[in-house]
Amino acid sequence: VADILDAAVAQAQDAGLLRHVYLVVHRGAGAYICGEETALLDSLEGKRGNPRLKPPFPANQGLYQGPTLINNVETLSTVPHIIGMGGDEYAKLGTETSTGTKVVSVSGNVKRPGNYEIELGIPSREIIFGLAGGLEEGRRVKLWFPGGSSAPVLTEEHLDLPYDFDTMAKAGSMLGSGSVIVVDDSNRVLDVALWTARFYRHESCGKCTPCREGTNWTVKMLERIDAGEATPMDLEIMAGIQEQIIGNCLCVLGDSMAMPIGSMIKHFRDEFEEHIEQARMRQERAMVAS
Amino acid sequence: MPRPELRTITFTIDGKEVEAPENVMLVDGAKHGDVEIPVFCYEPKLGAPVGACRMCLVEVEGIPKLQTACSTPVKDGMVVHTQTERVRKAQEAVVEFLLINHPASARFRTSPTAGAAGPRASSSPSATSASRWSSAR
Repeated sequence: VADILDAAVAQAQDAGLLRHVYLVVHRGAGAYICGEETALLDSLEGKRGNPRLKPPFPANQGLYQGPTLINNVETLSTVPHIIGMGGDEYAKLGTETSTGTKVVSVSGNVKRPGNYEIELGIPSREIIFGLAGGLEEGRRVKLWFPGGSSAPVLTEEHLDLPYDFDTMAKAGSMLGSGSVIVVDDSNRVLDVALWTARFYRHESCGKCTPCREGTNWTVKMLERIDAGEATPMDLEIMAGIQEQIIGNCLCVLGDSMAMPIGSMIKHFRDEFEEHIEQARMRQERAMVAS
Repeated sequence: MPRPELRTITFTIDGKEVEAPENVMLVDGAKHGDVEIPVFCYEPKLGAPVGACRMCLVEVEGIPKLQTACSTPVKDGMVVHTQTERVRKAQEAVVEFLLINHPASARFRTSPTAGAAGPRASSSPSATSASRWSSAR
């Protein structure tokens, strides 16, 4: 992607479009946290991409301590359309509170994963079943992340909700990055939780306590559930940990694990309890056999 | 060289009106009202506050999230709560997070914080904190 952007910058320069601007493409070296605005600034300054303490916010003190405006490439990419169509005309797209279009990136158990530009407010079902081609034969949607792996998960019953910022927030999730991850019923919720928690444990910068310890603790507890060493009370503790992470960290990475894990426990408590019970029985049988 | 101007402001902490120099960090400003906010990572001699340990989380009216008192400068008219249920829970959680994976340092008894039950309590299997303890390993 960086090569494509570099080539585009070179083209723009050759065409004489960049007379008063200087464009640089800087790579984040693959770190997830470099998407966080202050970690991104540190990364740009050549430091390790760690989130900074806010305030001061980047608009006051950002890159090299100067006031800095940070925007997603996606946001910038809509600017030509807004100017071209006129603001009022563009605002007619989408819903009243979520205007315009959004690029959604559909992945997971769908036939046609990929990026699709949609008008905000279309039914979520339309994205997963229409654009992304639906699931494999005989499979059902077990859960889906409406806005990236850091968004609280939704279930099959939320599929008919319009896909916009307000509705997703009201349903207890968020539109977030617009990356829709679909998980079908051939997957255990425990595996999804483990995958999510392990990812965030790996990506945590380790600076602040709740995120560093909380992600690690959550992974360990999920592994204990899987190994048959957990009790139903552990589920309670795990849900409690998530609550203590949300809002108490230096940046939102901790929340990013706590929100989906918390929502998975909320929506799939029965299944977690079943895993705990089954794994325990498996272990007991193994003990008897040996 | 002109002498720097010293401005005193008034803020409210735990229901008390307190005078403190403007822009000192809340942790230090609180001392003017005899309120002690617990800290681990705050040490001005080592430079600017980092807000990493999250032990000094307090409630500031008008800000939805809990704020780290080590990195929040006091402002005139600020209303701060350090003894609410929400603050207590968050601070206990931080202690618990720290102790849960550091059994060696858990020898310290820092009651009444819940997470500080430590390995001694874990020898009695009936205690709630004990099963919390063992569940992390």
